[in-house]
Amino acid sequence: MREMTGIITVVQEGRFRLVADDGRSTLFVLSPSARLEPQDLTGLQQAERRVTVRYRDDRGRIAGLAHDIVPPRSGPTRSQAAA
Amino acid sequence: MTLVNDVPFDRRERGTRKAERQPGGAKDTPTYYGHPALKAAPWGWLVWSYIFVAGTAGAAQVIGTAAQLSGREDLKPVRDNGRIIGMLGALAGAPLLIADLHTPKRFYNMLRIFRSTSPMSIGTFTLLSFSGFTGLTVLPQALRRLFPFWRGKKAVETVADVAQFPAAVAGLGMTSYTAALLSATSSPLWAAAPKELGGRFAASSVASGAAALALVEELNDRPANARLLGKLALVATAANLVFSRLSRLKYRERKVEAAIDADPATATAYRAATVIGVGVPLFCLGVSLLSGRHSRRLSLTASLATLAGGLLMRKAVMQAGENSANNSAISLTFAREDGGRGELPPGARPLIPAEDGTRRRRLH
Amino acid sequence: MTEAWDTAKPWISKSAGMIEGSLHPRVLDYTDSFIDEVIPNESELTAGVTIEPGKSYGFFTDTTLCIGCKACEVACKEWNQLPAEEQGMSGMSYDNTRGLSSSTWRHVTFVEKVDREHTDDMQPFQSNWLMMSDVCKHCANAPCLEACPTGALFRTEFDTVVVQQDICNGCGYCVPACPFGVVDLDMSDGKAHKCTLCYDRLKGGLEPACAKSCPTDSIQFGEWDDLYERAQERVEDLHERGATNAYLYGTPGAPGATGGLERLQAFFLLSDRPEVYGLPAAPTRPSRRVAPALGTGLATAASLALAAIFLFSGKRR
Ligand code: SF4
Repeated sequence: MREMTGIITVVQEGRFRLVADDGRSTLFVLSPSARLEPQDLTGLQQAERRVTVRYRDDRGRIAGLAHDIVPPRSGPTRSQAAA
Repeated sequence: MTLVNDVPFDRRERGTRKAERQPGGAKDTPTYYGHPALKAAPWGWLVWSYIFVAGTAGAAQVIGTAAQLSGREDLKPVRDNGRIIGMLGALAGAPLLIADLHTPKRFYNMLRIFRSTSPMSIGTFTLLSFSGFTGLTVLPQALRRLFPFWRGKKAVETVADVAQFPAAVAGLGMTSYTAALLSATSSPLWAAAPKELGGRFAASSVASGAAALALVEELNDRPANARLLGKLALVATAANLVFSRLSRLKYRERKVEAAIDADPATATAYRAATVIGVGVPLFCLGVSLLSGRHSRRLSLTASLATLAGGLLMRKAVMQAGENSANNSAISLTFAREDGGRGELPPGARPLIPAEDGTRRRRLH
Repeated sequence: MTEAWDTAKPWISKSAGMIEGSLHPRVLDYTDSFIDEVIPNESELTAGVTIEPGKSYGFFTDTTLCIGCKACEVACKEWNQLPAEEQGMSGMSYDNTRGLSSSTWRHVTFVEKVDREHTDDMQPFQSNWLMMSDVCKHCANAPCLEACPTGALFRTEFDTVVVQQDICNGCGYCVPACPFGVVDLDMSDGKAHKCTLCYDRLKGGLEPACAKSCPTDSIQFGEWDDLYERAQERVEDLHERGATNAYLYGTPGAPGATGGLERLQAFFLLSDRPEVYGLPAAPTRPSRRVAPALGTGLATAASLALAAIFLFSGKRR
């Protein structure tokens, strides 16, 4: 399982876009085994809080399959904190 | 994250094949590069196994009720075993269905509404009531086991005998609603012969229920009961044969038959289901009946073959239906007449060869 | 200018405050390239229609105007955050998308009609190519909705059909129910997906993304009755200009709206047989088959139960 930390910027149904700390944005699909439900994503997006997404590659598609969304595992990088 | 360029070449290569028109349907039906025009049901062995289990369990309760109605002391075991088979089926059925959901933790959403246009919804409530009433019918047997010295069994027995009737009604539903489940789709093979499929699933279910009960009676050395149930299985198998033939004719008429032969696995399963589930039992039971002597071996063979054939038939019908949905030549031909199209506008009509060698659109 | 606008878009609805033959007066309020607010009732400016709950909306896809640019496919993916598929080359003309799926809700078909025998039969537009932007039809009697056992599929206040993602449990029954092969189960997230006719955008007064992005107005969004009227005029116009093959698909009495489907909220103007585009000519409403299948089944099982009662009524006690 891989991890990516950043801010959820767009949510559509069970899909969301995460802008990672390095500025790259990635699309995720919420796995049915995740503890969160699609309707919980909007709250996370509106709160604009950093989260860590634990995911696998979604086979055959350019997206990650998010198995869990947890509080951020690492603090913001120094440059981000300064900004 | 994989980017397109990171995809290994062989994986991309697999997508690099043009869909091609598959055999079947009418020759003059165009397709869009042979790409499927429908989507096949995303179901697997869980569903076809469930269809078999539900049918067998439902029929066992129906037959058990007939035994109860006869009031015969010697048929009491048939009633009791009908209840047990019904219960086992109910216990296996729900997990099979839940496991087939792609978001299983939300299975209870099935109970939010009832929708009469959806056999899936009809089936949910049929299974629910079947399980409930069957649960009541097995109470006396369960209590006898658990509390041998408990009195007041009489009352529980009366409850069970009364619950037997609604359980049988729900059991009838269990034998047949699965045919409606398949027929009320757009998959051509399932949609082509709804009545025939209904008859087929029902007859096969009763044959399986009778076979399962006969098996138990035979193993418990009650050959007379096994023989009686064998006769019922024979009648049901004959009905199954008639409906199978009728559906085959319908498939030919509606030009969906090619879906059965589309892949070797389905073709083999389809034929084997008829040989094992219909041919073998008819032969064994027929010989046993005509010879006038009961043969334990023939009876056991017939029962096992009926059960195996019933299971195989559900698998074959399921696969053939999926093939028909994946084959656009079949599905687009099927949908040409299906809706009773009436007059087509000129642009939608087939081209016909004109005298000068060109092809023109038929004007009416 | 007035003249040009009129001939270019003679079908633009005049009911939504559109001044005949000119731009919508509110357009002048938004002349900046960057606007930092959502334009209220933006659809009035882009589609000439005010979106109100309780009215019936749909798409009219005029395939004779489609140039195969796939702007609609891209706009749809972008707005709905649908992942891209790793599909490779299909060998099907310029169509590597191949079909609608759980993550593709608009799909442009490419039919190359290079057959010599067809050339005298072809219309001058689209130079022997047929392109069509396919989409969920949002059927009036939607088979997917009728099949859904959880009520996840529902009819919205805009007369469209949407899967509620918080209810769907992925039973997959809507998938084989759809007569057009549209709705699809996403094996990754375990739920059914299809075009929502941009339900969220409609609620915010925006025209659906595909229709807004379509550069030729091949995809038109509007109130169904308006669209139907426009479509009929367009067919008449094409017939007058010699394109007698043009016909509507999915309107009452036409191919596609057969077998109890009545009408499709998203209908099409086609110029060849429906099958050429991968569309069924005469689909049916599957729920019609519930009664025959269940009835025959129950009757058969009940008859066999009677046979059992008869067999069991023998002498021994
Ligand atoms: S086209 Fe298919 S998915 Fe769309 S509304 Fe009709 S049945 Fe449902």
